[in-house]
Amino acid sequence: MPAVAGTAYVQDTMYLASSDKMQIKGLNNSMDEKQLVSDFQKNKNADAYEQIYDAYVDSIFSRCLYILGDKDIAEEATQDTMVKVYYALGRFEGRSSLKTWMYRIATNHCFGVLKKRRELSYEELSEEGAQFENDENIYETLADQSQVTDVLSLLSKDIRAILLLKYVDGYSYQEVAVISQLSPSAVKMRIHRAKQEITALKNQGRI
Amino acid sequence: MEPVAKAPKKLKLQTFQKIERINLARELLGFYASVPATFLNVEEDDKK
Repeated sequence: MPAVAGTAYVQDTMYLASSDKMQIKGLNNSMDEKQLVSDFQKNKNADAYEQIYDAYVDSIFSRCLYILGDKDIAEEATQDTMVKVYYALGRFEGRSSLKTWMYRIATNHCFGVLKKRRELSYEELSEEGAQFENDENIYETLADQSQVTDVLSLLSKDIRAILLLKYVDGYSYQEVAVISQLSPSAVKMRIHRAKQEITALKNQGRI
Repeated sequence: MEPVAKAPKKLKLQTFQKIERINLARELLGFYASVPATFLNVEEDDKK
């Protein structure tokens, strides 16, 4: 069980914050919290976000470590959670405490990570790897740069933007997903469709 | 209640850099989406 493994890891590691060495941080009261959230929502105040980050990052990291049981994966999950919090904070309505809301984001994210890792541990790993490899070669299948511009001009705007972010700017699927506000699977699907469109265009002799 | 572990300090810088990168990329996405298809077709422009 990952949670048990995570607990054991926390207890054994130097990352365990003993009560005499570390204060459990947090915001002093709900007024502080409301004020910070309001400051952020009004003008994306970076200082407000930084205070929220400082107050809760250890708790979020602990939660991620507890669920995932691996320090490196928990660090990555904490980072992803804090990025999600940044972009979702504008929609936070205060129906629960900020900490509860952030915990929910972290927990959902970690369960997603576990699910993905479970899925990847089966045969799908090789299939998915092959699929990625094919996707990576979209541009390599095209003869030269002018052909690339021709092809891009024939694709729809949103697919074109995703292809440019992925293959010209070098963002990962995960990053393109965050940037374009789509799920990673939707990004992969659009790139896959783009590849099919390109193949169809080639078969029709249009490129 | 689960024990509180301390997040590594480097995580803060990495998180803020990632947010900055995403903000920049979102601007880029807006820019790419606004580029007319014909603008990308260099050969067509040359013929004109």
